[in-house]
Amino acid sequence: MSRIEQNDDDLRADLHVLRGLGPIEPPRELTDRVRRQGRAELEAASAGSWLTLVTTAWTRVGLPVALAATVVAYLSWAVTSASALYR
Amino acid sequence: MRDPTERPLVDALRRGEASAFDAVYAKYRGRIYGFLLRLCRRPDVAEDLFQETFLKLARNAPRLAEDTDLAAWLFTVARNAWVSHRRWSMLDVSRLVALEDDALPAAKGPDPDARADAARAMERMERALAALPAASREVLLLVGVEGFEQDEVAGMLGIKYDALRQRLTRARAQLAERLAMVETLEVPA
Repeated sequence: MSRIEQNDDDLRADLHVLRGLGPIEPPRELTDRVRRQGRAELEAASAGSWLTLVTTAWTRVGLPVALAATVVAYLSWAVTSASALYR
Repeated sequence: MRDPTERPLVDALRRGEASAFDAVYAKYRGRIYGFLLRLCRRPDVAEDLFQETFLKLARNAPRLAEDTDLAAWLFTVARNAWVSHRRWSMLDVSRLVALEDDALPAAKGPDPDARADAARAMERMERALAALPAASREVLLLVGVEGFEQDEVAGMLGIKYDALRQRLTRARAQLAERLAMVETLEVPA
């Protein structure tokens, strides 16, 4: 066994003692309060995420498509109108 | 230490299901609170940071990555909250308040004698741990108490693996020294 492996084993054995220090339950009042607030925040964040999705879809897809359609319609009208003047 | 059974929990959290939050909260609240209480040594601060950690989870749930390791995520957030708190409280003299004796719970067990021995041993360990520098305490809590792999902890602390090894070795020596000191003080005259 190499020295590094021996050190690793020693370290693991030493630190294993620390596992005896288990979890500590928070006070009941804090537990209940954080659960309530957490659920409310989760609900708000999920609703917010839908709004974010819709906003992102509009700015990345809806708005560019609307602008492109407007420009095409305008150019089409301009060309048609100009042609009519020459006729 | 990644738990494969957590994947459905992460998916449910991403969808905003309250039952998933309850499950994660039930699974980790004792570990996170214990970690914070031992790290900052003040119940009032530990309570604030505990609340901050789980509310952050709730706020960020829809944006969690599919392969999120919840334990690592929560402990990283808790540890960062503590680092941030410590930075802001440098001028606050109340941080010098010592760890209250009743801040940590007593050990449980069936046999009263064994329970008393275990309680004394754990109390000594808690005292020795509490007396260590913050940097040593946090690596011992994450690797020793919580059982994270060393490379995971290096990632959480934002340091290289070798640096973590050095810090861990130093922390272990300091803990042994403090434990010996605590035991010496307990020997009746």
